[in-house]
Amino acid sequence: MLHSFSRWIIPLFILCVLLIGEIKGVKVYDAFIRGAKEGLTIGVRLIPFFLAIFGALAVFRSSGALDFICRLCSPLANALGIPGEIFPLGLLKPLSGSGSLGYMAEIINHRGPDSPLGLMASVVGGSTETTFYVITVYLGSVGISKQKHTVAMGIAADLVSFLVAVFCSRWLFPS
Amino acid sequence: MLNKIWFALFFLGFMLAGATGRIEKTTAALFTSMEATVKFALGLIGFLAFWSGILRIAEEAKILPNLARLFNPLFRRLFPNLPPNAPVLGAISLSLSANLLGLSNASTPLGLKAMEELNKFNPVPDEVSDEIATYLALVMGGICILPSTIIAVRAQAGSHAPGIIIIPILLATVSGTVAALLAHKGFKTIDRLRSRTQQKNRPTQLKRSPSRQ
Repeated sequence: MLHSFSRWIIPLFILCVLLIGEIKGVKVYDAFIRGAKEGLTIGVRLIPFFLAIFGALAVFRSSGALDFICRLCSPLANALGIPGEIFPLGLLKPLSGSGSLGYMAEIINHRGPDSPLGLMASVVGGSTETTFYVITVYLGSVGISKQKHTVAMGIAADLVSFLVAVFCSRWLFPS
Repeated sequence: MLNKIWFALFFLGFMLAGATGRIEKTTAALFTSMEATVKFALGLIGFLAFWSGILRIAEEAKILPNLARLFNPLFRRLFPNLPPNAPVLGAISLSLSANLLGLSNASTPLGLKAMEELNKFNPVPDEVSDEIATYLALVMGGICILPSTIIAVRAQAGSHAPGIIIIPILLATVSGTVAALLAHKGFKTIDRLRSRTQQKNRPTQLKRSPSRQ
């Protein structure tokens, strides 16, 4: 049921917009072209921001710096009862959405989707947000360069949802 | 802060790569990322342009203000200074709905639309406004009632109950959102205390800044 719902939602949305537009007398094709032109310029303007994030991440991960920091933090993680495999996931997600998705899928496939660790990985993977992507891309698209406290705010959100995710799944899915 | 984090990622990465003899591999990864970035951006541009086109139709048919009514009680408290009948609250509700339903592909174009509308009410063009920070807190908290991607990965791995993670994810993302909103409130209070001596309070109803498109 859930699956067919999520499969239908996008086509239904597009269809509804077109239908309401048509009923209200909007020249839908012309409006689409005007909007798409705008979207194209935004997309081109975003390339420098993508380069900045993905380049920095490539260096940080392939150099082993990410693993190093995870190992550095593992005593703290152990003390808090966070499994060694889950910690990197929490660290990776705010930086890279696709990277953390791959890492999560690896744990799920390796440990089994219904094992306590696989369940915890699913919950953690689903509850942290790609903070740096959101801040750089969203603010970059409108030309805001003074982020003020938004980075700290995003880190607070990630930290809290990560900890709640870990403890919730330990409580709901005990090993 | 972003500047320092970005610097730290490169600095730590290259220092460690040098120390562990992985400098060649790291440089290669950097070059690969440049190519991958452009591929990613090209893919996204098509997506972005298409959704911007569809959203423009929605805008011209005045669908957006109607959509905002769904979230009205919440928005009246979170964005008291935004006019209720402008497209801005509609754009925000659309972007948040995409997050709620776990439509991660659609969330970037819809989010950028919301940013564009929000920035029209930004009194200082170069800076994050109170409303933008509140919106970003909601996005980064990332409340999700239907984590479709996670469910799909679990189903593919042969789970007996792929959707069992919905409730804990909801709990965690709600806590994260509350934390982000509280953090924003805290920082705002500090800012206000700091500038109280120099400036009077901002006018309550924001005006569109004429310099924006």
